Amino acid sequence: MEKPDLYVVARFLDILYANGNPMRKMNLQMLVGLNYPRFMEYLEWLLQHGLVTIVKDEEGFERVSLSLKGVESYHRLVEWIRDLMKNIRI
Amino acid sequence: MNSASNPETKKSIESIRREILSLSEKWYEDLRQREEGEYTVKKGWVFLFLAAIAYGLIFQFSSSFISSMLDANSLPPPVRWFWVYFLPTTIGMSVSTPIILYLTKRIRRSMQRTRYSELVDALTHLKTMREEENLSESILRLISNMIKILPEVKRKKVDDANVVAIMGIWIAFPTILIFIGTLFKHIPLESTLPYFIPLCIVICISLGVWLYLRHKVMAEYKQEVSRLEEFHRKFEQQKEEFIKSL
Repeated sequence: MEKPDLYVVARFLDILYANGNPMRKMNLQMLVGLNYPRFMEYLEWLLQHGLVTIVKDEEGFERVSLSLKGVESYHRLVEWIRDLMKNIRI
Repeated sequence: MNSASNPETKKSIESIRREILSLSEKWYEDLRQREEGEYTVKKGWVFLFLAAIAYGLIFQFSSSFISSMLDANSLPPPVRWFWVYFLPTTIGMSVSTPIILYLTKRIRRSMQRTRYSELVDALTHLKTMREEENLSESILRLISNMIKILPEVKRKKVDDANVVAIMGIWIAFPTILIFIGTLFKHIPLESTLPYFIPLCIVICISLGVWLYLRHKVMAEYKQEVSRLEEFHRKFEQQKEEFIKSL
């Protein structure tokens, strides 16, 4: 994927951060609301950039969670959003 | 929570998320107050209309009293002018002004209602989804919408120039009328000349006031729009930069 949509990346980070525990791929896909091929493209992109990690649970299912870099990126994202909001005057 | 995240970072994220929500709450309150402010303006005009009628009635009774006290032919010019021109003008303008304003505002509001309410709806939605997950995405979309809609909201300020101009006419016309009436006291009331002189003066003054205010408000509006355009440009740029930085 050349140019991911920031809104979709933010959605992944939001969901993974709020969920806390590693999530099954299918659950994550349902929550982000993307079709499977698109979901896999984004997941690949997130993995390539080290934002998420995938581990297998005891039942053999792959579970996705935020990496340390992912949490730090989410931290930067919310900080940036807060600064943006402070600069808008209604 | 993720095993990879440290408690300090988590604490900081939670505090920023709370701050974001309180900022969005403030936005919501600002917009709600703006909407309420418009109702207040409407109520203000109703009050003005009623006050003008009361004012006219009081003057009518006081004039009748003065007329009964004095001989009609020897009434002082201001009273004569009030009786013949000032009172009908005051009543006529007090009736017409709110109607004109109401109609113009209503047209403008109906044109803008949908887009304006989009922001309020988005913020209301945000208030109800506090515990849901995709806060960042919702806020980013909201900011993007705000940048698009805010120029339209700001454009409403242009209406203020029209309101002030009509107010100016309303106040200036009877005042100048009675002033000119005093100056031209030797001209018989039947003559239309003294009536047209103040009318022309008032039209010129009001036009000048309206053009000046419109110019000021439009300049302010253009400044706001260029500020928002600049903000939009930066926002898009920062979005790109953020994705690249990941």
